Amino acid sequence: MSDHAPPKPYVWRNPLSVWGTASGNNEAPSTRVPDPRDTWQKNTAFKVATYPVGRLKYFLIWPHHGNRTWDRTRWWPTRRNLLHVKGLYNRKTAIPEKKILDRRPIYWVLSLILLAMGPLLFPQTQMNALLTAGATFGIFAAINVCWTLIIGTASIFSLATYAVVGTAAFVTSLLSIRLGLPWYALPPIGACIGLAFGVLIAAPALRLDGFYYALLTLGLNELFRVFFTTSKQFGAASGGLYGADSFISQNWLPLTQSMVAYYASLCLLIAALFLFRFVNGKRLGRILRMAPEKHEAFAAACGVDFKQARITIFLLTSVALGFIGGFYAAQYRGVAYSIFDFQTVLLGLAMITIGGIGRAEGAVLGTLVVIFLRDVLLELGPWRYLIIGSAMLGVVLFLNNGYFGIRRQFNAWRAKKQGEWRSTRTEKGGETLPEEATESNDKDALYFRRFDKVQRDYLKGLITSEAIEEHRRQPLGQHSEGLERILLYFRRAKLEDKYALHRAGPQGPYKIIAFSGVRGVSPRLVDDREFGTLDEAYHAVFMRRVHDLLES
Amino acid sequence: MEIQMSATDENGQIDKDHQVRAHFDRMTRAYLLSVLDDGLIEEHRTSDGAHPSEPLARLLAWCQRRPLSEQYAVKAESDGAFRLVSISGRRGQPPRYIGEARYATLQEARHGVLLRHINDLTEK
Repeated sequence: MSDHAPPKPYVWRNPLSVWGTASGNNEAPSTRVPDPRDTWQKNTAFKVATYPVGRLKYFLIWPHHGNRTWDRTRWWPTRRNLLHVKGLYNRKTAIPEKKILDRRPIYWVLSLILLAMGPLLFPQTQMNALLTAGATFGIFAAINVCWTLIIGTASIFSLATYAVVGTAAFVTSLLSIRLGLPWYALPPIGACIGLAFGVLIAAPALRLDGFYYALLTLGLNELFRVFFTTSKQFGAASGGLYGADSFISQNWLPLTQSMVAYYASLCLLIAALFLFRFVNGKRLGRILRMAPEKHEAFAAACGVDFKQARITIFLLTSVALGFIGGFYAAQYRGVAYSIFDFQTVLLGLAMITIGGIGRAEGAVLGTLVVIFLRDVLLELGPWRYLIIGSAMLGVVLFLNNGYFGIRRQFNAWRAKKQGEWRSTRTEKGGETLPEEATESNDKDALYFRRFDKVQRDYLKGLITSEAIEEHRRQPLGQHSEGLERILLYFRRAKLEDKYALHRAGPQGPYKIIAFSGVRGVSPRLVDDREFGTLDEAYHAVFMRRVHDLLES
Repeated sequence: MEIQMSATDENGQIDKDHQVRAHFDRMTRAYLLSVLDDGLIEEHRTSDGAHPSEPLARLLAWCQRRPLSEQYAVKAESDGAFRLVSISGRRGQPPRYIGEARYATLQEARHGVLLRHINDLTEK
């Protein structure tokens, strides 16, 4: 029963009494009917804390008309769209409009333009340091984009990335010094070395699980470090191998040299991003998105050859890493042993972890953060590494997938909180909650549920012993207002599970049945009680409905 | 109510519709007189008119159904007060003022109309 004050008793006079009613139902003790608006207002006023609802997603929307709504700019000569744009009619205003569903290409272009404008924005006093750091950033970001392709897309936990780059750089430097190869020959030769290296370490990737494979590649890294540092040919005494040919002439001004290095590494980064886009965003990437870690068996059962896809990506990436190694040697005129250091591997891991594994933007942002801390904020001293470590620790502890996973994580958290709030509203009573309402297109259904809820709340207050007694005395005919309202509601109920009477013989008895609401499906017997007269049976149905109403 | 029991149409036939209406009206008035009390009038005076009780709703419905010549209307005066007028029911014949009472608000004037109707009801 709802918390209505019981309506005041009074004697209802039958308007038909002056005509002389057949059953003599001239008056009946009844109750005064309260104003339905009170119940309505009480129901629509929220008694619990409410929060802003709806989908908090912002899209760039701009109006269009006619064919322009459906026009798309495409990458020539393909049919691929320039941007993921959707044209539609606004549900509320019926105005055609366009939405950009995926804004990442815009952000990429803006970020790359910002990087290209870097030298204009750097302060003059730190110009040289920043340009050097920028060149390092470009190369490291390119390496990390390739690495994230191995770890994220191909799910191969390889730590030998820097070993591939280092080997390619050392071998090409040696070739350039010994054979006098020009700088433009170094990256292609590096790519061949990368391919050979890739073939060498791809085979175990098929047989070893993640952790053991990581150990193996770490061991390879150490092996190469020891080999190159102890080898006399590779200049064991000088801390590195230098003297290769370069595209940066030593006759240029130091600022020009830094500037060329900066833009060259930026071009390398863009090339790496294109590689990422064409591997991760196309067939190979899609195949592997179907076969994530621990679900390989399922993917294989579906006919996805994930092993071949992984090895293909690994080999492609090794070629790219070898190319970067050759480019590195051509840019810096050689390479230092520090590229094989365990510290370099860990810094690289920090870079891709901070941004989020499996995303190009994550790899680039992580590299930017770490390089900025390591190479620009020099005055912080050893604290820099502590900050990098704590940033990595914080990401691992609190974020699911780096900085770029924050949005999805936040959405998941918000959905969880919404669920909690919904469950706190125990007084819902069949009405749609605002959070659910935003997900439904049929607003009629929402309004009907609200109306029905309020109606039921109101009618619960009208069910009194007087009304039941009045109905018992005369189930059919004119009734007092309260009882009429209750009966009208009962008559309006859906056919599904609606009660009816079944007459066993020509004169009764009667049993209560309920309709199935489905054509061809017979009504079901509700209970075994038999009623001698029709009026008794009507009243029994009424009492059942009253019971259902009070239970709801 | 001036419904003639012997109303005839152009052929001199007795219009039985009129008879039925008159009978119905008599029965309705009998019912209304049986439920009419001070509580009903007080309810109309105090409520905002949105949710009348069943007897009051039937009383108001009867008032609204009366023929035009027996209807009352509220006229807004230039000084902001309201007065009751009676509509003649004939084209070209203007309404005439009923009584001298001037009401400050529309609701009071409407209540005055109801009292007039009740007066007619009880006098019949």
